[in-house]
Amino acid sequence: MARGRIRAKLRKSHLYSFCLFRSSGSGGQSIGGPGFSRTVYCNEPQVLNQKPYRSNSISTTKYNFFSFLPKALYEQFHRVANLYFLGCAIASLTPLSPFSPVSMIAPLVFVVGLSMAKEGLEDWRRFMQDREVNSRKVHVHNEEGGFGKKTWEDVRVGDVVKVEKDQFFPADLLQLSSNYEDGICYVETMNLDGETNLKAKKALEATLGLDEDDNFNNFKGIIKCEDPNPSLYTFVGNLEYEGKVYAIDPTQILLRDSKLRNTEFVYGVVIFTGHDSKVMQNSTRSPSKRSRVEKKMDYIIYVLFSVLLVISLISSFGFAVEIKYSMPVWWFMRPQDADEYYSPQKPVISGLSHMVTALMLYGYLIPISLYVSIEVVKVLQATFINQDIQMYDEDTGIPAQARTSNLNEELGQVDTILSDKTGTLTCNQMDFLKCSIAGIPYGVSPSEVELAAAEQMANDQEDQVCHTAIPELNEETGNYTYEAESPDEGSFLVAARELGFEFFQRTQSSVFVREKYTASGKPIEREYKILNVLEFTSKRKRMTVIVRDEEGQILLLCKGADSIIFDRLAKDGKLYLEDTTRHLNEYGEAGLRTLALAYRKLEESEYTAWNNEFQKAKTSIGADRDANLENAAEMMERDLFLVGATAVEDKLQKGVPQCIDKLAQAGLKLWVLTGDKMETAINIGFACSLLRQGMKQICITESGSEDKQEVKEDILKQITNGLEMIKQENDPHAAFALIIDGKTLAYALEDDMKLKFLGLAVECASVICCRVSPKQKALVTRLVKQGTGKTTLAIGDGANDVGMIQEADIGVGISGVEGMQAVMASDFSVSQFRFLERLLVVHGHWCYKRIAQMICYFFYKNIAFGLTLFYFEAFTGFSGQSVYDDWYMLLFNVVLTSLPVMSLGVFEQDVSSEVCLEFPAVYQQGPRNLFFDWYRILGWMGNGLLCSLIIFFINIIILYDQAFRAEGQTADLAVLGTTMFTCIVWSLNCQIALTMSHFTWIQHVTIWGSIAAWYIFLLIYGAVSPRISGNAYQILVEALAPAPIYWQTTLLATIACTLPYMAHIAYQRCFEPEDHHIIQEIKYYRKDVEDQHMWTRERSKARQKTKIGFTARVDAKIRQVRAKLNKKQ
Amino acid sequence: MDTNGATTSSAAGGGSTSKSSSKKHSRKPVISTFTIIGIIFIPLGLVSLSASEKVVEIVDRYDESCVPSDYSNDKLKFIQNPSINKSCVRTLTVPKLMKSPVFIYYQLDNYYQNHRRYVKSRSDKQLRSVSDEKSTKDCSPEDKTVDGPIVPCGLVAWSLFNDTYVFSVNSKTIEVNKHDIAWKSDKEHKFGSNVYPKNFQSGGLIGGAKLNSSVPLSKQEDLMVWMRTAALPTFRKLYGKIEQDLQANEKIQVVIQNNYNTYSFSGKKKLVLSTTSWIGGKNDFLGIAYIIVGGLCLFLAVCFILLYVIKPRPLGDPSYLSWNRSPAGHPN
Repeated sequence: MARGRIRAKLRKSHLYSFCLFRSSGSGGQSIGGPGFSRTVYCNEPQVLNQKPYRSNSISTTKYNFFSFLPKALYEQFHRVANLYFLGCAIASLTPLSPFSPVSMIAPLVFVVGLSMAKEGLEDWRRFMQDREVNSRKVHVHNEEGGFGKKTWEDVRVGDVVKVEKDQFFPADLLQLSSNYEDGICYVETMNLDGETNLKAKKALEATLGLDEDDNFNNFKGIIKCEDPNPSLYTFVGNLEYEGKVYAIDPTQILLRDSKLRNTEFVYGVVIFTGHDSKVMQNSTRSPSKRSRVEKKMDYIIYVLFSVLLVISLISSFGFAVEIKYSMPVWWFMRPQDADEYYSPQKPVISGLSHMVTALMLYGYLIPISLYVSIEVVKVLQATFINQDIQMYDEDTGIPAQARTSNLNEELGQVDTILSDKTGTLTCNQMDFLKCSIAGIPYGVSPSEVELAAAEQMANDQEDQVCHTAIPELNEETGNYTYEAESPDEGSFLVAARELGFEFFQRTQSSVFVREKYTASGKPIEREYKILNVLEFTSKRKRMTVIVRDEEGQILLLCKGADSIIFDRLAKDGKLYLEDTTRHLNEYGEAGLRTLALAYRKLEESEYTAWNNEFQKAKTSIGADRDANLENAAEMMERDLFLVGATAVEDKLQKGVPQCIDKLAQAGLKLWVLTGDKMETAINIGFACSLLRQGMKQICITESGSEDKQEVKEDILKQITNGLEMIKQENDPHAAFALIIDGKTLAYALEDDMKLKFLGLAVECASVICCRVSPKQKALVTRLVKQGTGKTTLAIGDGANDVGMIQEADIGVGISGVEGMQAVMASDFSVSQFRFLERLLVVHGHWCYKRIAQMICYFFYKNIAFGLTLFYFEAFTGFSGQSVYDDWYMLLFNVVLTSLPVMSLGVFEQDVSSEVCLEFPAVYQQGPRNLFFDWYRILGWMGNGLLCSLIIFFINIIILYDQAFRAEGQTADLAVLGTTMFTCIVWSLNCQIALTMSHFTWIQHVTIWGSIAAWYIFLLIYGAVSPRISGNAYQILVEALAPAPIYWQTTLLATIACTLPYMAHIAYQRCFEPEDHHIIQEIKYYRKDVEDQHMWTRERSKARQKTKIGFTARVDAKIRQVRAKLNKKQ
Repeated sequence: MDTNGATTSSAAGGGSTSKSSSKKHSRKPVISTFTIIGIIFIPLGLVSLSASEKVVEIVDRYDESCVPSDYSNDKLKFIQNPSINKSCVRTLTVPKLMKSPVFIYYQLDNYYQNHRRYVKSRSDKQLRSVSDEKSTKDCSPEDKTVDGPIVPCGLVAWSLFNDTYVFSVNSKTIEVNKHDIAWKSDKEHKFGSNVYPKNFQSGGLIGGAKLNSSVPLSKQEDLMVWMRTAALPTFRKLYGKIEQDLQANEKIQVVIQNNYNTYSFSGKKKLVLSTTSWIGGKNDFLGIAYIIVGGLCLFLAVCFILLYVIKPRPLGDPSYLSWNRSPAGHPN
């Protein structure tokens, strides 16, 4: 049940990041206390007093065999419309029903059944996935003393398992030993945190001996530790083994779903199983999002419900009046024998019960199949997105993926894109480019960013070439294949090897470096004993190792963010500070990622004293251990001597600047939210053309004052100044860029200031937020979403983008290098940023128009049909008699009118994908919501109203009282109903044919097939026994088909119904054509081929006026040059 | 931008693999569509109108005049008193030659045969086969008597129209053919040839006509016609056929047995004699509607031609693109 609680919490919290980075409990708690009650008897899973912990089988399904029906039904009837239809279906079993029960229940069962089948199928897939995981095999120590294979689901808490190379861990394990003597093993945690690099884990010294199968026969131990919790990076517990107590820390814990790498095998004891494991505790479903169009659709449904209510009231009132005044004189109705429903004595009761009848009768105003049709259409649209070959990344083999199909049309309405930088705009691939040692800069080649910048700015920088750097850098952790803890390190190692320092072996306690170019010319192997490693955390922003070299000298080597290192320098350690700072700034401006390096020599005694302190902190148990460790580290990391700095290049992804250019031309705004520092962010901004020379940068920074109020006032002043500046700017081409850092943003996002900040931000052409935390990313996203009321799209690749991806209207994950966290949380995933253009401009545009047209048409058709029932009511004394046979009504929504509108929803294209890409302005139809505004919706509804009036009155006037054929028979209810229904089928299907602008054989088959289906149905229905068909028996063959008036009425009603729309579109096309109409015409007359000059000109004009992007930059440059020329003249 | 494949031609994203064809986007098709509709509709309308004009129709309302003057204040009393002679003689003048067959209809006004209570009160099963004679659940209150189920049950059958007409010209009786006035399918499939009326009109309340219990339902064509419930409160039902020509200005004497009660709800009763043409009875609306719609289409076609002359827009003229039209560059 704990899981349920956590889930609930996760759901409540809108920001994923809040939960992910929650620390585990506060201080003062100890093992055995609340929250730390778990006891694991190692190798004795059968011990009796062992608490029954959860089994290791997992289930991520929403339903199980028994709960599927109730739960799925509940989900379905959560929708107001479905609930209404359920009520109707129940009421249809009473005599109040105007229809036979089957005609009410069958469509509902069909529609709900289809949705449930979809749910069930998805859940079945999850179930199969679970089963695959649960039935994976692992070696488990058994009572006979050997290791036997067991499925994952049978693994119990306390089992000793042996995991081999490249296998996943079946549960959260305490590592006992590995094939390495020192008990080290390497794990890949991609499934957990999305990081691809390997992490080293280390067994306790005490258990290192347990490295063979036979050693486990007598192994006993008791682990006491924390209760299951979702914190991936903490673990508190201890191991009682051979009478001693050992502290366990996260380095001994192997988490489920991570993978053993570069290690032959490990032995481990199972601590957390199944849903108790940390990864499962962390799992959360992304919040369900609904598109704007769908939200608006709800309003339309409400409008229709109101209409339904109004006409039901009218009808009930009419009925009550008729019952009171007319019924007594209608002797043929036997009023004296009537039950309550028709009794003239009780008109109020009659009226009230008629309300139920009327609500059911006019239920055709609410399109029952709307939801299910939209669902089906969206799934099909999503398959097109998934299968679009032009969004398939050949390098990685990953296609674009629509992970939810809910938001397809939202893609066509995006206004603002919020983008992560690293891994999204850039590759997260580092090349070691430059370094500064002792104040002397070394560097090899200009970076790609520089090249791009140089190209674009025509502003070459001098590059200093030097090959003789001898950095004293060998502190790096990692292994022989250089799979290091961060990409920076990997590139350092490669660079270092190029320079002659080969890092070739690492044990738990030492690193070995081969020095190739020594004074003697022989390679020398040096050993550095590692004494302590003070790990890197995002909070500390530094990492330190303490090593002892061969001469016995103890060295402390520290690397980290410049500001952190500079704070910890000794007075005499600032020798190179000035030079290094200058170089750091240079590197930063060139878009390079920088680290400062420093060292300190330690005296033996000083080290020993500190080490004792440190070990104490390390073995202390409880929640304050982390703080203790940090304090201990803090003590040592001071009085450093600055060595220099390194710089690695952050490579831009393929096609990013071009894509940004195109997106800007389509009128989209792009904000960059990055955890990087301001200089790097600005440089990437230049490389992506988000910034350019001549653009006025409004940098909002915090003053650094202690007083919070003062800081706030200062920031407010900066914002106001910025706004003032923009207001006073006269040059229409002037562009502004807003750059703000995380600390300042924290203030700017406070309630009293955020709207002002937003006001400034939307005025600026580009906005770059740097040094922002994951939480701030989400907050900024929320601010933009709620503040501007426009659709936002967040795109990112890492775990730190999850919050923003979930918060935005649409979250897009980059399924690239950094693992799956962002993708799992996203609605769409693409493998490269550049695919965003096609996703939005082509698929988004199409899906938006398709869904908008589809919904409009749905309402049109149901209004056109439903209202005819109402009109007929008035002619039957409001008695609730339907003019159509029950079977016609049954087929109406499900068979006769649903397929054409679905083919519209799936295949409609106003212009081809090439045109979408060539004319970015066409995309603006979406954000401006031209196709789903109330004007258009009401227009369609009006068209439906008109259509219903035309059909109804044409029919009742033509088939009034006279003979309708030469044989003299007059029209009865069945003849009128069938003729009217024929007119409806024809009119609605012809209407949709007029709406479509893209025809393939599928559209033709669905439209004309639907009409044919109606006649085929009539033939079949007329041929079955009159017990079923009643008065419709043989109706087509005998009565209608031989009567010319039947065909004439059909033709007349169809033309009369479609005439208003035809006139409308003809007028619109002629005199107020929309962009896609003109482009269609140009394409149709092949003018684009004949007059290529015009085509190119229009293409360039179709761009939105934009101040960012490469094109804008070129324009600015041209303006600059012209201005200069003018001056000269 | 090569990767975005601006040059690839297939509609891969749309997923349609088939050949796509664009609709014709031109004013010419618009004008020609309207013109063609107009050209087709107007003649069709004229033909229909002339067919309707050929139909000769005599309508005679007799409910008022067939009540003796002493009952004119209490018509209900008159109609409900079985002992009063209900005979009534009407004289109709044939305006134009009426070619055989001349159809005889009775027309009721303000009679809600389409009321839900009424429409449902029948049993199609029972009408069809003897074995189902007990299935009378929808027929209440005319479902059964103490002697067993009523065949045919229900309000529809119970309220069967019972006025009768006898026609004569110059004292010579004109034969009225009452065969083949019902649908063939009704006779052959819906009303059983071995189902005989039972317990019909034998209860306390007598509704309308009685049925000859020795004639099977499949031969009771009046019942069949009546049981095809009308869609609207004003309706005509076929009574019979006169299979001889009626000459212009001929005086037809009709002896009406005015039995059926429409007085309680002030419904009208009319006797209608009508010929038919291929569009059926007299129905000017169809022709007029066709002419109106056709005319409207021609009018629209002319409008569009005029608009085109006044304010021409060459097709595919880029100057109509939104970015060329709005002076600011972009309409926002």
